[in-house]
Amino acid sequence: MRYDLVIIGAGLAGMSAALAAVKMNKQAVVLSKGLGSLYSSSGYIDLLGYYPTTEMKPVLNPARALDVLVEEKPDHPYSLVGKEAIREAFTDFLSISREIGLAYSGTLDENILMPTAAGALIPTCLYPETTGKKITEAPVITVVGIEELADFYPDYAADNLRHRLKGEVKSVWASLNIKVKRELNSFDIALALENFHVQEALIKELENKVPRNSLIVIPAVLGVQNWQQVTKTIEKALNCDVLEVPTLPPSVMGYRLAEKLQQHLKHKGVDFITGHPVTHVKCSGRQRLEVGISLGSGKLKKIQGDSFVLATGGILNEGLLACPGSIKESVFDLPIVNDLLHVDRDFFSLKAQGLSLAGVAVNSNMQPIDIKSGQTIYENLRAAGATLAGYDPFIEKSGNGVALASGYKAGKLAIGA
Amino acid sequence: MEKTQVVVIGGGATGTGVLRDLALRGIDCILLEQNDLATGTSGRFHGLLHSGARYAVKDFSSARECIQENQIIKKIAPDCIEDTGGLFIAVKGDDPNYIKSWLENCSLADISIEEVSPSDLLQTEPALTKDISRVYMVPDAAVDGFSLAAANALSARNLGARVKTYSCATGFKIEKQKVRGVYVIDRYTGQEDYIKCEFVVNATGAWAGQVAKMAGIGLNITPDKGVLVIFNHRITNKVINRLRPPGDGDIFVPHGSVTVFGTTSQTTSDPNDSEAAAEDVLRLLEEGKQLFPGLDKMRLIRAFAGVRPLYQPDGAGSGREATRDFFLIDHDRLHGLEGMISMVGGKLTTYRLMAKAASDHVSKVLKVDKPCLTDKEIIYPPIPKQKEYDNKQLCQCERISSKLLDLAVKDKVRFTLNDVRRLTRLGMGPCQGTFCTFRAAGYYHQSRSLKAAEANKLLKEHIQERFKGSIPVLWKEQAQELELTRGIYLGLLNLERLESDNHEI
Amino acid sequence: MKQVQEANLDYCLKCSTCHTQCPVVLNFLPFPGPKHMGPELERLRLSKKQGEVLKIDENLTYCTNCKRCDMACPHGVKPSYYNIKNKAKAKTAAVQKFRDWILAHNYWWGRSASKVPRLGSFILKLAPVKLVLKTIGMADRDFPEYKGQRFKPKIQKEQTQKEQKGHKKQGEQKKVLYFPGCYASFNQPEIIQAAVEILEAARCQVEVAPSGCCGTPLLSNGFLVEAGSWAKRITAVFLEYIEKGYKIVVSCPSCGLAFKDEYRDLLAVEQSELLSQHIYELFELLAEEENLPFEIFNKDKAKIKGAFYHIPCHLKAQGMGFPGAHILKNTVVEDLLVEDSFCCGISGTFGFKREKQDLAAAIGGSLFNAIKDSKVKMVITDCGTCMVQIRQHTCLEVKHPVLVLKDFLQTQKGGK
Repeated sequence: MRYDLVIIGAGLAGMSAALAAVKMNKQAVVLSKGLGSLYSSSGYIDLLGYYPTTEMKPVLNPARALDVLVEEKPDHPYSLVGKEAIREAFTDFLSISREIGLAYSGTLDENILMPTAAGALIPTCLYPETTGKKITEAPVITVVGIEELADFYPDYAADNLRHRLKGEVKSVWASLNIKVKRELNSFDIALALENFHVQEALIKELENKVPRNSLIVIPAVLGVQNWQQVTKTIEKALNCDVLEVPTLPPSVMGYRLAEKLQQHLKHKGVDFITGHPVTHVKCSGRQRLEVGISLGSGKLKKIQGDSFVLATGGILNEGLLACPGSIKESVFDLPIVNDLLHVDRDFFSLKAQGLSLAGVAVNSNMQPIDIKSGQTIYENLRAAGATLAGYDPFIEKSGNGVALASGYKAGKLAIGA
Repeated sequence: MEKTQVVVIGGGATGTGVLRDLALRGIDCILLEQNDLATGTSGRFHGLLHSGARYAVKDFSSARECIQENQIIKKIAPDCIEDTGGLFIAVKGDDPNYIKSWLENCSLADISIEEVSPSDLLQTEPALTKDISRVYMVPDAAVDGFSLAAANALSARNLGARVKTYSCATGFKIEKQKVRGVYVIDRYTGQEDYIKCEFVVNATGAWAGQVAKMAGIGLNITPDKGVLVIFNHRITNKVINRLRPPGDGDIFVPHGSVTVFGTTSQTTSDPNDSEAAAEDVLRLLEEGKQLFPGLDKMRLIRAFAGVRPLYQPDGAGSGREATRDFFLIDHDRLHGLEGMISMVGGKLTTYRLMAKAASDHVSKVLKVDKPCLTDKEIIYPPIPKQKEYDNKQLCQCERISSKLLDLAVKDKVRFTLNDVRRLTRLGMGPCQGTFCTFRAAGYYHQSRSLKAAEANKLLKEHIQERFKGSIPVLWKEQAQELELTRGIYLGLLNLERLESDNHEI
Repeated sequence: MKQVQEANLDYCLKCSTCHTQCPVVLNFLPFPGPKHMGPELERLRLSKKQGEVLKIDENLTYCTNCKRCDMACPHGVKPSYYNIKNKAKAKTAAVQKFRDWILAHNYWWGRSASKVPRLGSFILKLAPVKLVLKTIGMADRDFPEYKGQRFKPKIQKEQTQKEQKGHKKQGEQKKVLYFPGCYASFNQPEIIQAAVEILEAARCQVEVAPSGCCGTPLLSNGFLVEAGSWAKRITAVFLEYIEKGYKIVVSCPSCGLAFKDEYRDLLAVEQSELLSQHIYELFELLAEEENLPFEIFNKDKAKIKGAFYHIPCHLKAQGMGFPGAHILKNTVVEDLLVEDSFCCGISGTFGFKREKQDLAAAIGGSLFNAIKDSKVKMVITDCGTCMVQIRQHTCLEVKHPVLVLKDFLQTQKGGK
């Protein structure tokens, strides 16, 4: 089978490239070893939370901070993607998000602060519409924990939030009366809350504990499919606003985004071949012709394409492989910038970790380049997302932003738009 | 000021063993430990309860002691032991003459030996090399140093002894060439105190030289660093030794769900030197591959180092050459200082014997005519070995429930998650605390009514400590795990900016 | 399991992505899910004494072996391997064991029932029989109907030989051994006829393997030893053909997956690796050889308007993409909806178990809804038991893609 665009990697960067392809009615395939880390992510599309990275205070206007970043850090993926393309990717995403039934709100010009499960505040610029409530402005906040859930502690979160909010912060536990003989994660609770009776149980538990008109901060467990309706039901019954907080993996907010995007792309004719890594590559001169995935016991499925986008992720998702003493790119063995492991021994350091900074160097066409000569390695290969060098998404709070913008640009250029 | 008959310094196996032995003889005693129990060498070794076979050729008297103690410990501390049995494996090319003298000496030392056919062995231990020439089964076992020290301390405490952790001895009160008491500082509060006593037992292992120095005595301790690694899963069901003269990378010990593999031997100047380097790990793997060819494909979860308290009475051998025997140093006889002894050398397997020697000496000095009873009664760690399956597991890798978390801190005013980990195995699985640290901090915040800052500190310290141990093995899965952990604690929870992020918007 | 796979649990980072993709978790909260039952507990099982089982392993009977966890894992863990391996060890009630044994041995039942097909199907519908089935834990539901086994596909030997000469210029004729599997053999023999005709039209020299079971039902019910000896015998036969230059072609996704992956990974059959290199799903072969038995863009021909292609889990798991769907979409069906997101719930024998029947229906719920929402009149799917399940729950016509293609070829011929 021959495709217009072969995308390797099913995370946000890969799907973003696929979005660009289907927009131009091109036939794309997404090949991936597994489902990618979007399922573990917050579901926020953060552009830039802190700049410079060592800054303690959050960026208020990410678009303006981006201007400075582009000036100061020419090798940062954002600088290579360019401000215009970033804005286009974000704007397109906002409109697609409505189309796929998971509407996002926000703009590039403002970060709003969201509570985290530990009770810190985290800046982001695009967020699911249902979470568009400003906790910093709420006069009364009630943090709700679910007794069946081991991944959220309302007192702890509230205690930390109290130190950084003006509003009054309370915390309560609610039992959903789910009796199964195992511990439940956020995804399980979200499944249970699809059920009307469980929603009722939650409302009943909270009726007398939550003051009217308060902002309810609750782990993101309000349904895997129908969270919009579940959120509304609870808001109406309790006369409160409800704000979901992303939790430890499996993250329901990440799941919703991943699944909705995937469904949308499948319906637009994108094939997803998941569960097998790309192990074979063939090229002619500076053109990539073919990739192959090894199936089961070693048989090779070959897939030809006009263009290729590499969006296999960083160290976490095995787009980059850390070996003793060096880092390698896992599909095409592309040259790596910062391949020597520099480890900052302070886990909570505000300096970027070597493991995150390392990656593939690209030019502004998102084509991987030779580090010394700056020359393009393959004309029809582009890279996007965490595979790229030069940024630490966890410190900057830029992971999904870079994935979305670089994926979109790589996809767009790859199909020749 | 407190008063007691004997102050034992050092909360490892030996120190807690002495404490229990003395308490069983009705002697009032206090234990001082600068950190938590078993944070020194007793918690930083391969966890092998020697049968003695390893020392049969080179250190015969150690071998004899080991096999005797091996049988006693299995009997008195069943919950701290996993009686896996051990194998000595010779591969093609190993010296047959060594095997011969090894067999002779094992038999002389009364170490029971049973030859196993290599092909039978490969059925149950498929990961082993096919190049095995000879295999012998010995009564080696796995021992948990953390719970052994905790069990000794618990038993002593039940007999009236006092245990002070995070309490550092800072000096001695010496009058008329006799130790009268110990100055101590509480490492949490910084509060200084003095304990009046009649006798001091220095059981600080690799730190013995430093402690003796506070009494003005020079002790020739050469701390010898041994690096060990931990594999994510059980790659063998028995202790595996290489049948050759003891060297680097020839011991594998299955421990619950993981495998500990070591060691190296390298003289160091600092007993606190517990850091392993990636080069040490790679060297170990090279050695280990001779027994397990697929070793470099298996997931390493961390590496650490322990420091052996080697003692050279006449400055003879060091490292692998130094004796594994233990010594009771009577400072009265040797240095003219009354009221203090130091226990040095030795190994965990013979800790009870060391404790007995010390306690016999102390009893004689204090004129207490009571026999040693430590080989009679069974001791139990605070956390039972058989964990029941509980729904509310906060650590899924190692199945640690909230109930166990309660149990682990029951008698503690202050604790770190690391202390909890040593008792329960919290955070010792493949994710190395990625998921359970947040849960444990949140759980204790509530159950122990901690302040937010205290819970944050519990969390951050534990993540940092787990991270530190993974640095020497930061490739493949553990590099991924680090990125996931950063994704959660920095990317999702934003904890790196928690303390100083008073967002005034 | 092979040693390589034993270390597979090392790859797990506990991200639980597999958990979110498990159709059983989605519909049955008590099931602890693939991450916990698989890599997480396997570490702890390794530290147990041999033969000792965890109580929680009783839950393994809920694993349908759909492989969606394996496909979801970003790091290559295969939770389903551990589930199957440990299913064999877990304790199950005696009655259930007996029932599972019966279901696992569908091959024998199929063979005996199809000797007297009408009687076989009739008996399954009798009230007293239903009562007995119920007592041993069979679901009260539609079972596939048994068809006569006498069926012998018409193979155009003479013609092919004639044609062979004509085609020699264009290259050697492909030799193919077609393995129909249980469902086609006993329940819908017309699939065999259709497959043979398509392959012949694609200029293959076809031989049909005798009816036999690939071993999947044995595997998913935890009868590993027996599955292993089946697999050995089949592998030996296939290898003889492979040596003679044959490709082995299947039309059943589960047979394909067993030959391609499971013989090696779960049963450690010798030479299974060689075998797997020569296994082709029928459409996979057509697509790969670019050797279609018809003109691709024959726009004149009337196409089927609107159909829903349900990709069975075991087809998706093979990682070859969806060649059947692509071929049908390009040639036979206009507006073909291809959907690989759902499990139908039946999972081979799973949905025939009484205590699992409702769960199986619930699992399939999303699929049935998607089919209903699409307002198509026909559903296409490769797997026999998927067909039974979808037919029962949607009351629509459900067809194997080879039948769809064969019918189209026939009308095309007729059109000429």
